[in-house]
Amino acid sequence: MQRAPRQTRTRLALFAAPLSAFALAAGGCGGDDDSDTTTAVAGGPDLTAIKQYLTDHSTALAKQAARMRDLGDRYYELAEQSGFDYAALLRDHRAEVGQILDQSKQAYTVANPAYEEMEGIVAGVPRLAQYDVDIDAGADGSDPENAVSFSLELANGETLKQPGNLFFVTETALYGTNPDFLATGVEGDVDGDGKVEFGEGLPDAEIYSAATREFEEQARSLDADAQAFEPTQSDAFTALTVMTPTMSEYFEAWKNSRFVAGEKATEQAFVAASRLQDIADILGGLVLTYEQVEPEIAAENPQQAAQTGQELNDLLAYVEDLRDREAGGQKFTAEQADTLGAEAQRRAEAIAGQLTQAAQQLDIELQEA
Amino acid sequence: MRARNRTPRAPRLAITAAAALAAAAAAFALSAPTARAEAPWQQADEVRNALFDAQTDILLGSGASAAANVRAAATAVSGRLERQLATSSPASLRELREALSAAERAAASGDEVGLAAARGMAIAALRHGAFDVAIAAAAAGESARARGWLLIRDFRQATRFTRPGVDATAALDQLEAGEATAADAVTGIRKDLLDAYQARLVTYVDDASQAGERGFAAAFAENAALAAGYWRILAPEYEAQRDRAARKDADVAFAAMAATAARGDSLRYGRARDSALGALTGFTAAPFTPEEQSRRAHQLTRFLDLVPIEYDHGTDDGRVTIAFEIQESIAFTEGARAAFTDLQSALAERDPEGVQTVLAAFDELDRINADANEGRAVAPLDEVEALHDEASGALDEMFPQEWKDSDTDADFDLVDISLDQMEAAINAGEREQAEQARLSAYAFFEFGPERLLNSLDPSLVAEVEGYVWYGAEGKQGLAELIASDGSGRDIRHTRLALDEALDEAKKTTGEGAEGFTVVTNAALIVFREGLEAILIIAAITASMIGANRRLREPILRGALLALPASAVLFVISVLVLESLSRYGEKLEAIVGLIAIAVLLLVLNWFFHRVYWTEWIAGHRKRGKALAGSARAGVAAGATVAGLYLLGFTSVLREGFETVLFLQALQLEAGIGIVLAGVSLGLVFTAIIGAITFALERKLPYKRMLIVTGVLISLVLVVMVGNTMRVLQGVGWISITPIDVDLPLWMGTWLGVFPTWETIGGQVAAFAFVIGSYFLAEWMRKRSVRRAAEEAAEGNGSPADAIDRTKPPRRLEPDPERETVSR
Repeated sequence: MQRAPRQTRTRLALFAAPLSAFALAAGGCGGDDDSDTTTAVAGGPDLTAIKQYLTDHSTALAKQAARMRDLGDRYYELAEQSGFDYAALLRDHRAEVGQILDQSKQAYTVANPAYEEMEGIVAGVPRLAQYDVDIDAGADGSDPENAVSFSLELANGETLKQPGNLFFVTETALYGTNPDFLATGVEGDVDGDGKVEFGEGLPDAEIYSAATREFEEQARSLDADAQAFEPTQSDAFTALTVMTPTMSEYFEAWKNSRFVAGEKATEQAFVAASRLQDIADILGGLVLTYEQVEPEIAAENPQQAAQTGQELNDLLAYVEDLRDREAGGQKFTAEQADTLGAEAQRRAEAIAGQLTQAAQQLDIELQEA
Repeated sequence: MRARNRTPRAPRLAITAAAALAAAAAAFALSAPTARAEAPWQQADEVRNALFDAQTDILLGSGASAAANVRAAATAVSGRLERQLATSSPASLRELREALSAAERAAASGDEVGLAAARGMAIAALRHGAFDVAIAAAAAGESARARGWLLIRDFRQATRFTRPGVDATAALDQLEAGEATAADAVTGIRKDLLDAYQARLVTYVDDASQAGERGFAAAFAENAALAAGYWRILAPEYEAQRDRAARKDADVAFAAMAATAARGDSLRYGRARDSALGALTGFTAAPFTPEEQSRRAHQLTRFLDLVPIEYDHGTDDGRVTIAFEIQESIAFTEGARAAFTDLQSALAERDPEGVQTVLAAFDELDRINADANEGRAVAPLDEVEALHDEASGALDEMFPQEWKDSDTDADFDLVDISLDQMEAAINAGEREQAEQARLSAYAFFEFGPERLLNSLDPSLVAEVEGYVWYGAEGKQGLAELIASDGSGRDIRHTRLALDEALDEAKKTTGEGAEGFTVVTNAALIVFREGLEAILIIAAITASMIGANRRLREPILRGALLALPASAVLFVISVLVLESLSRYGEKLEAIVGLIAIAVLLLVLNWFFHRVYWTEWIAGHRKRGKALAGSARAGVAAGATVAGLYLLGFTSVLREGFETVLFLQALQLEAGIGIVLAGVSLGLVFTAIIGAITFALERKLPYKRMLIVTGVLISLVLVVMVGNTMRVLQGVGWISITPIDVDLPLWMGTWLGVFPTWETIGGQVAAFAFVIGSYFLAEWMRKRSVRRAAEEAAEGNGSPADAIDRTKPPRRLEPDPERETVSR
């Protein structure tokens, strides 16, 4: 079905509003009649908004990844000029190194939400999901079942086998939270103020430049696949059912991150931005995805559509509220994070269950994750 | 904290305004003082959310609004929610009210733990009530009302292998469509919900235990209360399956679990939990359908049978040789135990002692596997086989016949497990293990569902094989990707496409075939393989004309003898199917090699026909010279035996393939109907055979020689390609991919696969054919030259020499052929 032009849709909405109000009011006029009013929707839903959303974000990610790669190359060249003597590098090029790393962090903080906002779709659609493993979610080789698929070929001929996902490698190298990716034999006092503050890191140039090259390649490849991606109803439902009930692991990462655990944090990543921001971003993408299929569900089962729409928006609002509280200075304990995460997970699993029922009613196949 | 409703992101002002208008109108309508007008699910949401807001207020805020939030929750229990609960589930309404009272007390005193426990009780009571109302509505045929109450349900936690159940929704769809009775719908709903609540109960117990260990008191109390509340949903079914006394004990244990958690008494909680979970051992609340039981039984049998096989592959002489095989043995033991657990209740009713035997065998297998895996000790294979036999024998005694009948779904499960292992190995950078897992997956497919699928939809077989091997539908094959260090992403892409094809295959084999289709397919299989046999025999016998015509007889007799031999093979395969399956691919590889050897012999003979003729003539001459001598008898006998063997193996190879395919159809549809198809196929084959051999007699000799020579060469090249692929399948030769995309039909029809080994073999075979031809030509010319030289020396006329070397048509014209060709 071709999507109605925006003007037409607006008119339809204006026309539908009193009708829906009437329907609601009529539905509420007492009695125990739970019968639904079924509204016909001609053809399948228009999913171009999902593709547009995806490609907007994949292009933005590719752009930032390319920027990170340029900066990574410049950093490598400087290190090479210093014979990979990082003390000499800081001594001779401190200002330039500081500038490169600052710009790299800026690129990272733009790239990360660009990805997180589309993560619900990328990770939720099986034929794109490997990108999520490699870019954002995959573990290192010590966890083979969940490890990334790539290894980094360093310019010196060495191979860094399955180092973990690319956001993890680049973030922990830039922010100095993972010693494995940092220059050795020198304090990472990039700004030269005599102490290494949190967030200051001097990456190992071999590893960092290889990681940014891999990142650029993966982001470009994802963008190309996104451009070729034609979303189906099955994709949309699969993404929603796979990605909505993942709240507990995100909250767990938040709980273990510096934002909750402070200096005792066991999580090396998620230092540039709170994991709550990522969760809100992911849910934002899922809400948009749901909006595209909601009419179809409503035509079959209006109560189901209303329930899922409301609960999904409630969940997003719940996470955004926590994010805003944190941004406003509120600190959370591990127990609070646990309780809040458990509630988010329960709500998310209920939503996934509802969407599974809707898929069944609409005879839409849920793909194997 | 109360979650806000979120407005859509896009700046759709008009839409927003419309929504606001609608909401305002709705709010007006809903604010009517008569009663709460929300649907039950909205009221239930309000109860849950208001209680959580109260909890959050104590957790993160001052707690000042906690009591007001609890009152809001209590107010939501009114209208339709209250009325219908009162009618269909008064006990759960009572529990809900008690929980809300407890919440009110806890909120008033700022008791976070008490409030959490009360919320857990309230949610469980709501779900219990919704369960009862939905069942009552479905029983009354009111599908819309049942559907509305199902919105309050909980779901099984989704994992990689399980999704939330949809049986309840499907049951109501069928009820609405008039495809199911109210009783069927009730069964569907009960099955789905009981499964979900039992699964959830266990996860809540786990969550409670973890929270208790971490000292998170509120979560400890809430999760335990939820588990105890869900127990009350399952309890009637438990009592029905066990007895009243058992239920009473379990009631006490679950109640104690909730109470001790609410008090934060971890020690007593641990005891109560163990007792509660102990009561659930072997209990499955959701009734399995007979089909599901049968499927689990088949999985159990398949998994159990694979344990000694994998153990055998992974160990040798008291040491572990391939660790991966031991891990597979562990995986299959776990799979078998999981399947057994699902059937345990049903089996315990039939034979409690048998159940204990199987459990004891599983425990021992676990121990042996773990010892081998961790390098502690390697038990001899005999011990594993004895345990397998023990468990297998007990199961065989306990299983009803329908659980023992054929089922291809279990094979698909095995394929899935192996492909999962393949991906895990790829992610671990273990390419060799990945390849082994891929080969396992392929073997499970080929000697499981492929046989039947080949009879139902051969193109789907080609697609599946394409994904597993060298590519299909524009995607690279798994064999190719693994061998060429393809990325995990590419492997994932192919896996997804393969999964889709396997799903399709599962549907196709699951639907099975109608009687007419089985007859047709059986006939087609026999006809297809029969044609191949005719082609080969016709090609071999084409040049046996004139004086050599009599040589046809042993070949044709050998070919005819292969027919009853194939029938015997069929009977054997029916009797020892499982044993054959174990060695199936290797058997196919060996038969393929024999067939190639035979064809090479044929070709050699074909091109060197004259020398063979000479050799036979030599025997004849010697026979005359040594009339009656034993030596001549042996030589002639060997020749005849060779020709018998030629005919016999040529046809038996086709018979072997036919048997494999027909075996699958026989399991699907029964022997009678398959025999009908076989008879039909044989009739058509006989007709085509008669026409072929008649044409062979009439076609000009030289043209016939060329055509048959080309055809035999083609058959050889195809057979070499296919056999090399089978040899790769059993891991006897390596796989070195060539980076070209070949269409699937080239593999299916020409045996052309993009690897150096398969194509190299075919090129070698082709080179042999050509070389053989040129060698024959060279030998012929040399012979003529020698004859001419001998003639020139006065030892005879050149014609005498040529008489032995030229094709008979030239010097000994076959009157029959010449007549026709003129």
